[in-house]
Amino acid sequence: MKALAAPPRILVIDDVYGRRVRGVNDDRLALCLQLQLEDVTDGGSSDVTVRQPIAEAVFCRGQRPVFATVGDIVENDLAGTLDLIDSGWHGRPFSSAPWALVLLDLRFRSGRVTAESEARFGEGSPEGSEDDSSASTFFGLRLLEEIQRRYPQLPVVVLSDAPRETVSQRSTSLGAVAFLSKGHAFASEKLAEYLRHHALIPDPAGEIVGNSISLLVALRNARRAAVGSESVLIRGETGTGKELLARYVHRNDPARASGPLVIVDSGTLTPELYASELFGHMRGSFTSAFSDRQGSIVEANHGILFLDEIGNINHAVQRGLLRVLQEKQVRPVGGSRSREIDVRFIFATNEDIETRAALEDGFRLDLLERIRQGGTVVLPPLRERLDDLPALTEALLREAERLTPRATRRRIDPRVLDAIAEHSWPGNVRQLRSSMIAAVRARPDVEHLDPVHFDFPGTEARPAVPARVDAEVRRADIEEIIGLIESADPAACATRQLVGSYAELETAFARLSMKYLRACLNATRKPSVRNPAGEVLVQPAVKLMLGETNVSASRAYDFVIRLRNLSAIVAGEWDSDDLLQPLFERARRQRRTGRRHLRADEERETRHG
Amino acid sequence: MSPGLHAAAHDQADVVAHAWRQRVAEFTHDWLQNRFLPRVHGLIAVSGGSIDAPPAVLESLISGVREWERRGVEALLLADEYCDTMSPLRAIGELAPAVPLDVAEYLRWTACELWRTRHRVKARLDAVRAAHVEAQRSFALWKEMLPREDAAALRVLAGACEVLNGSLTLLPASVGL
Repeated sequence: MKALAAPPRILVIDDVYGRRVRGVNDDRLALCLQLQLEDVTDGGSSDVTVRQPIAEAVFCRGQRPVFATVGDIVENDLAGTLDLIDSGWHGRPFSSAPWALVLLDLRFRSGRVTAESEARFGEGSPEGSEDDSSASTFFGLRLLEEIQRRYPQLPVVVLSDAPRETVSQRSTSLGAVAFLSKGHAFASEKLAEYLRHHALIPDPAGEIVGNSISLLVALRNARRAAVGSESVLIRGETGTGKELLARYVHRNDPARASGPLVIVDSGTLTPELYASELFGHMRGSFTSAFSDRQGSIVEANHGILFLDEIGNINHAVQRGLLRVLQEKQVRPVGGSRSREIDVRFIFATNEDIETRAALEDGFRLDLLERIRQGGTVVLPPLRERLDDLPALTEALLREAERLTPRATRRRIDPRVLDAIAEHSWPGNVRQLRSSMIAAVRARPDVEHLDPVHFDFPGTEARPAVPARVDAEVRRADIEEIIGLIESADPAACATRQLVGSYAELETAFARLSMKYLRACLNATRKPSVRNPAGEVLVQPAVKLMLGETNVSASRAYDFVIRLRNLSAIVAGEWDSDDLLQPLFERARRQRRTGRRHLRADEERETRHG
Repeated sequence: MSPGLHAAAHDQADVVAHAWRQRVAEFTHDWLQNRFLPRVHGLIAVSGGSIDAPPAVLESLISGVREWERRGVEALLLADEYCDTMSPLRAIGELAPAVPLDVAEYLRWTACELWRTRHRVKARLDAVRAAHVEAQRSFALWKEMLPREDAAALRVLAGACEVLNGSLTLLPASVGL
């Protein structure tokens, strides 16, 4: 999936550079040359060509009128400026990415424009007022406060030379990520560094498609992690593109981008083969070891090793991996000598390995600390990046057409996007891709992609978060229906109408209850710094489902098991559900391991709830 | 000095200090940082070859850098006026007639010296003047080289102006000990 790489688009809010003049704003032009920016304000008409601009810049005066002449009163324009920010932030399907970053001046000169003020400060510049130069009333700080409140993910760099001691603390506490001095010799390099570190920038290689804020935040976190040397953990549901993100980290790692990237999928290997795959082996060390093998870690020397599905690895391999991470040495299976290695590790999982580590449930806490030392990057699921659907659908469709012999190039019916958005896509982008390929293969010759071309296999309509809980109704409904179904005997159903229809009813109820449980689990997720997507909490979800306030952890887990057993008729759907299946496994495990873990769970969920 | 006179002296000192601060802001922020230095750096970027600029743009940049001839001297004036503006002398004003003249003079002198030492006034003003000399020298060198763009001289000029800006803005900008 390739897209055109455009430089990131930034917004410069500054009275001097943002003001409009009769001809060319020479001040703005000089700044663009200094910072290597391409001025695209009002479509951009400069006859200056910056060969490799570090960003496209839209300039905004932050005041009205933008074009002022002698006699005009220039006033700061909070509402107009915020409108401009908003226009480049929301509602951009198929269009460019949101503002990558804002460069914000602090001091805005206001007041009447006079011949003298123009001669002194430039065309359209007012004479200034008392409040302009007082740090306590800087308009830039007022704007910064409002930007932070409305767009907390939008990075703001203060473009000012106001004495730092007077504004640094306040602007930092208001959310500014850095300062940039206009006159600094390396201002351009500094800005490039800030863009790399703070800006919301789509993947220039086009491998990761999308401009949604949640995706761009993940890419930003990945770039930040890439510049270090420690291991990185990528979290994300199945099919969200963890391997693509690992490739992105590799491309952005200045020390290892030219080195190898070796990918190992733990999910495809048996535990026995895993150690050999990672550490290598000596000939004869086990039955099928007919020759020496150096292993993936050595293959990744001076580069990066990506280990997917890290939650699947067994204790022995975990121990070996921990030794490699600590000692930077690897010893092949059956070998007696270790070899020094220089490898950076990226791990990925869709499992809650933090909870498993905390509960000592098959994952080592010391290994967890090691694998996330360089940071954790969370990839959003498709349902949290619906803004990306147009671009993703387009890219996946074109790919599907390429992969399908003699497929015609087709247009996308707008109803397709609606239909896709209405489904939950538990398999995320990977599942959408498969559906797209199937849709094109089924109808290679059509000129339009229509919703009827999709089978939407394994997906369900996206669960809505329950708006308001009516406890009495819910208790009566759920408990009564569960009791009825548990005790029902299809053979004893007297009514003729039910003959042959009971299985259909049972299936409908099973699907409904799954959908309901999923909605309650999503509605009660608790985001945290460690897990921004939100930890799945059983107790609050079951409380919500039953409309009761007193539900113990053991009862909640029992309820999950009960629902799963009731849904045996759609067991396959449970088993392929990323949210429900791990929950069921957890419930079964909790039932097996008994009261100690349940107490811990109760305490933890009580704290959250 | 009566409380009334003292307050009046303070008010007058504040007005003078405020005017000086305004002029510093206009010189450092409005001109040096907002206008002059971006043009110097812009010209450096053009001479580096990473930008294609038509002759009119080049002319405009050069004319912006030439403004140094007219405005560079403001830095020296601000430095020269600094002691008169910010020293506690102005705030002390007239002492009561009962204070012997030599004692009054001694008190004034002591207060001023204390202020100079405490705020390292001489060193700071020396830094302003030295940066100005350096900027002046590199500007003259650049002008001599015209019409050939000399990025090296411009870089020295930019560096000196940054120091000049820093030295001026770091001068304690309120009257008092």
